[in-house]
Parts: sequence; structure tokens; C-alpha cells
Amino acid sequence: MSSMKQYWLVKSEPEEYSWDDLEKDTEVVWSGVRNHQAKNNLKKMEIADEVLFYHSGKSPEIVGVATVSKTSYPDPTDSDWEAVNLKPLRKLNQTVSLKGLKADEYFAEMPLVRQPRLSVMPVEEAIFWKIEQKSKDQE
Amino acid sequence: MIMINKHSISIILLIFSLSLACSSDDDEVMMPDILDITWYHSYEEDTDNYEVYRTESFDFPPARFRYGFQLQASGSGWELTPGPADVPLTIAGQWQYIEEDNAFLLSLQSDDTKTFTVVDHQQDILKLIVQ
Repeated sequence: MSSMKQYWLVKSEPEEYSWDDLEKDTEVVWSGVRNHQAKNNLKKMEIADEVLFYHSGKSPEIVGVATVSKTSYPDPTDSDWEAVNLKPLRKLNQTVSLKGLKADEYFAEMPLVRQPRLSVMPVEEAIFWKIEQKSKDQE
Repeated sequence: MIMINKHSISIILLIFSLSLACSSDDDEVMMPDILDITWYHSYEEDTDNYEVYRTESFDFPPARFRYGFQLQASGSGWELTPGPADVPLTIAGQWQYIEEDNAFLLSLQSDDTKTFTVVDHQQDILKLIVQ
């Protein structure tokens, strides 16, 4: 079965905007992205795409899965940039750390590992589900 | 010979007091009381003529990032802006008040300068022209 759904990863400093904030808000304007590659990725997002929610900072890890609820539009904080809306889908049973991904050769080509400063990136479907599986394996 | 009675003294004192009061008003800088408060851009409320800023206690609609700034009584200040890796960044600076424009000039360490011209200020809402 083929699927048109795309998979992504977005980063956020938990002190600035965390997964808990997203669950509390139920929907958020993903604004404040000021990197051209990240901006292009935002523009490619479609409704119902699934998005790994990653906490950057001292303990970098993937903590949940969100979904795109509104496709890209001018960032209300600066119309030269783009924003999308995200809604929380599910919290991972166990977080998946960057350290754990780096230790697994399967994820070696993942942009998260290869481009540490990129804040919005595509994720291959197989990688996405492998991460979901990894979060369950750690239970 | 000049005759000074109690009535005359009262009038002289009254004129002196009024003169002091007027002089005091002339010298007073009527700077808006917006210091030591973090102001966040409530862009949903912006109009074509000004931008709206609110304090942290305001029930903002959810957004991952909001521009913010603070001017401190010490003369320091900072703004919160998106950083190069999309991580919000605090940039420090120094501010001065320009009375004739009712504007605050924030000179940032990034060599950027922001001018906040106050259109209106009431307790926890600040209307600005930002340049």
C-alpha cells in the first residue's frame, strides 16, 4: 500500500516551547523559523503529514508525534518567512534520544544526525516507523 | 515706604508656589512607565497604524515564537529574536529615551537599532510604531 503522507521532524527548545505546551495548546502556529532550508521544508508540508517533535537543548530527544493542521502561510512574526500549524497526535511511550539514534547505524544518513543545526527536516517513512518502534522497544 | 501686610504675604507666597509648580512641570520628563517589563508582540491585534504589545500575563493565542523586548531602569535592554538555528536568541543592548518623539531607541549588540515610538500605553497594553 503506497501512502502520500509525508513525515517530518521539527525541533524546539523545551524551555521555549515544549511538547507539554503543544498538548496544552492543542494547536500551535509554528512560527519563528529563520533558516532557508527549514523554510522550504515548511512549504512542502501537507495537511495530515506526521511530524516528530524533538526537544533540543541539554537532553536532545524525540518526544512525540504531531500532525500538520494548516499548510504554510506567511509567518505572522515576519511575512518574509513561513509558518504552519501543528496539532499533537501522540506522545511517544518512551522518548528516543539523539544519542541512541547516533549509536544505531540505521539512522546514520538521517538529516537529524547529519545536519545538527537544521530545525525542520524531512524524515523517510521507514525511518519514522523505526523511531516509533524504537520508542516501544525501550519500554 | 512699602507696606506689607499678611494679605500681601499670602499673595506673594501663592505666586511663588505657582511659579515653582510650573517650573517643575516644564522640567519633568514624561516618559511612559514601561520599564522592567517584558513586552511580547500580540501581532493578532496589530492595526495598519501600530503594533500591539502585551505583558506575559496576557492570554496569547498559541505560537511557538513571539518577538519580545524589555527595557530596564538601569539603561540596559534586550530583545528576543529567532536565532540562526531557529532557536530563540536574546540580544542585549542599551536604550535611551527621545522625549520629543516619545520614543525609545534600543541599540543592540548585534549592531541593529530598534526605535519604539509609543502611540499609547495603558497598564498592560503598549501600542508602538517599531522601526
